[in-house]
Amino acid sequence: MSGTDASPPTLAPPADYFPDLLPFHLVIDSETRALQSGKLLARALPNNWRGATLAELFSVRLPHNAETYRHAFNPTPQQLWVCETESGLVLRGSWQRFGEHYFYLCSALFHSLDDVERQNLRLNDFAPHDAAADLLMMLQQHELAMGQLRDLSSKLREKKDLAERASNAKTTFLATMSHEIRTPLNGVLGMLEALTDTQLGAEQRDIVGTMEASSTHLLHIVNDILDFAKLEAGRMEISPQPCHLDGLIRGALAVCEGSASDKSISIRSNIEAAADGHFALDEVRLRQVLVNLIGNAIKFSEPQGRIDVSVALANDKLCFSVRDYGCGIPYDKQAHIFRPFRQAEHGRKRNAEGTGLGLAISRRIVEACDGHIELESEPGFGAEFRFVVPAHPARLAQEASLDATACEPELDGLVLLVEDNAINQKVAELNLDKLGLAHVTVDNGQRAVAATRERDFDLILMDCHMPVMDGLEATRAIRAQGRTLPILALTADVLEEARSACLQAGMDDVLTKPIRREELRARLAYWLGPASSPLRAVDHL
Amino acid sequence: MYGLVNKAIRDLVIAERGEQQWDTIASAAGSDPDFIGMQTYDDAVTYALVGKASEILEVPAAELLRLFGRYWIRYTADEGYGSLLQLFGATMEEFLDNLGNDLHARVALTMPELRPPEFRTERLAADRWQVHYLSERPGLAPMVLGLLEGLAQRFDREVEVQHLETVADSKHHELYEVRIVV
Repeated sequence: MSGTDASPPTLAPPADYFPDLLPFHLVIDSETRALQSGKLLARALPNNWRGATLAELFSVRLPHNAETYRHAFNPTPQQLWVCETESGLVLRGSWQRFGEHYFYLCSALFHSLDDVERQNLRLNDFAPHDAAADLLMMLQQHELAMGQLRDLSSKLREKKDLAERASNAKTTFLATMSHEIRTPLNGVLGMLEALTDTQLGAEQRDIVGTMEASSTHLLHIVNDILDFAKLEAGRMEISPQPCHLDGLIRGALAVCEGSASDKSISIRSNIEAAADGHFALDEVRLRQVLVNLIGNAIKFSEPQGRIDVSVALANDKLCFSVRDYGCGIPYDKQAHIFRPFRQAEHGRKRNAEGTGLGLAISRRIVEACDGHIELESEPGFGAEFRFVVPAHPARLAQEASLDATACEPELDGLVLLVEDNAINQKVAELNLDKLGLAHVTVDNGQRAVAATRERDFDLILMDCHMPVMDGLEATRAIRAQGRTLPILALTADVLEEARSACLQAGMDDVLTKPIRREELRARLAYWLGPASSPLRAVDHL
Repeated sequence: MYGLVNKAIRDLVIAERGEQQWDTIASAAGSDPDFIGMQTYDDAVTYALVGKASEILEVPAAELLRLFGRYWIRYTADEGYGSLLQLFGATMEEFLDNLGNDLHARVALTMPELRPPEFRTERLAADRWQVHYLSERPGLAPMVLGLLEGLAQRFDREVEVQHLETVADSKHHELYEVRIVV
């Protein structure tokens, strides 16, 4: 086959082009004397670089055995050579042999743009095909981004700390105010209860009833605000315990019974057969939700109305429903009804009572129980609030519950009352008298410790905040004597921390002021009952 | 636009008029008061901030942009881009000579979402340059005046900068003349 004998084009550029094409390169002879340099490398070398040996121009960082080249220069093409000029320019590359000459094909090694600046180089000095400067810019941007991230993290941390401090201050303020309000309320409610037991005319009884209702309402408001603050601060703990749904519903209905009967409203409850059993639930908190919902239903029902309360079990969830047939909730209010301080204005019937926190608290409690709450309402046709919580079956050691509505046992025993506040002393003494219990009163912890050395008491009611020696210290001292009698805290402080502190100090139970007589009776019956009482066994599960 | 630009506007307003004014401006522009430098934001945010700042501070937008241009050079150097600026040139003359050599395009290689302007420079005399500014973004001619003045401040020089004309082009094309006085 014939053809033209065209020679392949010569690709190698003339050597004169090299300094511009390859700004960093060096050509040496077999004795390592420099013959040619790249344009930028030449700027970093001494003026008399031509003819200088490799050892005179560079200190060699890699390879580590580079000293041997002085005797026999024979580098392999794959070997990495890192060299540094006297001016501090670091080069990385490898040697290629061409006949008697060696080419050091290299690029400058920079760790930052500042290195570039120190070598007095500009962006234009880097050939367009050389990405070294681009990599440095990316590195710098990465560092700047990291710096910004650090700044942002620091700002966020500051703001979080600030918010936490503000939140703690708010919670402390609310706890303090709650304590301060509860203490006199204990006196007011206690005395009103005592007054109710005296001989009163019809008009006086009516006045006392109104006063008691107002005081109770004030107490609910204080409780609502404090609960909301605790939920906001994430400090409300959910404590699932074995709970029978029938008891839960009956307990909630008992609380609402009075206001329902005032309006002649009938409440029907229905627990689906499948749901009739024990589940691990926070009974206290769920009762609070039910009381809120039933209370609302009563408020917004017409007299002689009807309310349906039901519980069903579906897909391992308990579905509670509270349905009323009142005026319903306007559509535009429904989306906001669970927000704090919102009350739907039901036409003429704006609820004058309450904080507007009940539904917000209910929602948060249900959510804290891993459930959800929803509303369905058609204005003019009532409303149905439903909430769903996980139904975890509870294993029971013994079936019993502390039920304030249980039959009232006769109480017997000697109680040591430790209380510094004269009004609260009087309230507690009146209650103990009514409950038929003998009692001795002292006004600080130190006297309580002394009293327990002198006499045997069956139970101690111990205030927490007292002069000379507080209730916690007194309890520790009494326990240190080896005394095991029940010690019940009396406190107006309702935060979980306060309750924990009491229990850790050795107290057995915590009663929150204001203390209603029925509650006091139930707790005293429990703690003054026989030691083998099944009630205690359940409570300590 | 990278958040760095919005951050610079924020810092300029706070430095000149205080934090409260900035919060008012950001709120009026419907924007967050803070930005992340390396995050991209819609150009509309930047234009809204400048517009509201002009309105609330009662400074004409052109004047505000010129102020911003001057501030930008100092701000970027302070924010850690000083060595990058240094790569463009160690003197005003060198910087202006290099400005036309695709420098912004090379920077854009490392900032993929940057839509940089294009500069072309022509040295007319030892102390005079003609500078072309081409951008996809409209209305920024006054800012370039400030940028060139800010550069002179960086190199401790005095310049006269003149906006010669708006060139009819597919991009927003402005022509300036810069003369180094001292």
